[in-house]
Amino acid sequence: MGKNSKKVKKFKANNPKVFAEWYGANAPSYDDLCAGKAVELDEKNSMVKHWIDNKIIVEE
Amino acid sequence: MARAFSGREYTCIFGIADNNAGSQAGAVGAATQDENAVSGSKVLLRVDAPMNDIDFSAGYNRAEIARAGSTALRHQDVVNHYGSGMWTWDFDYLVDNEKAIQNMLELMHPEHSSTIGTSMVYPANPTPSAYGHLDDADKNKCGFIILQNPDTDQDRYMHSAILQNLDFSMDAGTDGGRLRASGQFMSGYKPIIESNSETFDTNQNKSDYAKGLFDCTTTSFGGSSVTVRSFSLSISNPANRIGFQGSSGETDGYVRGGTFGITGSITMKIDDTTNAFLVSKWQTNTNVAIQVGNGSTIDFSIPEANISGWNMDMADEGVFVEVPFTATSGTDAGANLAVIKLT
Repeated sequence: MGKNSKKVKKFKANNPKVFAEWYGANAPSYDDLCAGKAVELDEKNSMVKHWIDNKIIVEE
Repeated sequence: MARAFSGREYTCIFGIADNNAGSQAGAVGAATQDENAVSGSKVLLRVDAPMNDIDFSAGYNRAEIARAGSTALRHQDVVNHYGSGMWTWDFDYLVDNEKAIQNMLELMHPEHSSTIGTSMVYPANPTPSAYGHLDDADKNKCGFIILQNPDTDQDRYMHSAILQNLDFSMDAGTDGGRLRASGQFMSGYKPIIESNSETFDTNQNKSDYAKGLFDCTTTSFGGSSVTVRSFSLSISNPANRIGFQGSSGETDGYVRGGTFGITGSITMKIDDTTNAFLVSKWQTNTNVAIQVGNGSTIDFSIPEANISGWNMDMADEGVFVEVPFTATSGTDAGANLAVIKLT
């Protein structure tokens, strides 16, 4: 492993059903989270930061 | 002498017009909406007694014109045009019927795509309905109110009514914590005063909903469980009448041109979790997710609430904080404004 590589964090919805109700219809990219799958997310994105702060998503 | 009436003798029937009932019988502006309601939507609305009458005062377009040559008003100097104004009806309702409150949730955003028996989603960017006069597109967007009067030929029937605002409240020390709803209907069509014998649909006189704050077992703020003393939520989607049609000045429909807004407040016990929210949530201007409910039969979720204040109450009963908030659609409108379940 090279020194510049970094661990990729994956997140999944804490409660996929609730996530789908709150966010599901607003972006196609949310489909995997609605389905309970773990996906790579940019922690600097303000929406993702909000999800983490509010325990809407959790690190896998 | 005729007998005096009790305010408790008045009753209210409330339903949603079937906008596409055929032959424009349930269309915007149709006076036959009461006979052409959405199946199962006509309920006996047990608002607090004594209930309000329709407010007729704004139905007049009134002016008093001082004219040269006269130091007092003559009868002709008072202009009163009845028909070109608007009529409102305010209600205060301790929720006791599931269909009644679901009707109200729907009328706040008729273009919804929710299954109301499961949940009502107020999306990131609610689409306004088309409210042109005699519009009969397949969306059910007008309510009607019948105030049945002990003087039976004096019933009030307000059709083509727009529910402009809907306010919810629950308080641990009031009404046993039960959910209360209040709001205002508006119409730009003259209420009809008549003998109206319409009644509620089958079983829609039942008190079949008795949920409140003490049923809210899943309550969180910013991802942390909190102890809540009271909660309120106000949904606003105001309407205005548009010009006139016909010969009596009644409106040519409506526009709901204002902001679809949801605001509220939550009062929480101050402890080491909630104390930290002052800095971590409010002062940093980060949105919080608020959920008050049980996830199914009573549930208010505001995924992206923006805190607008921080009001400490240092009472003998313990220290609480009242936090007002405004629902947003999150970053780049990525979230629904609110999800409400009353089933």
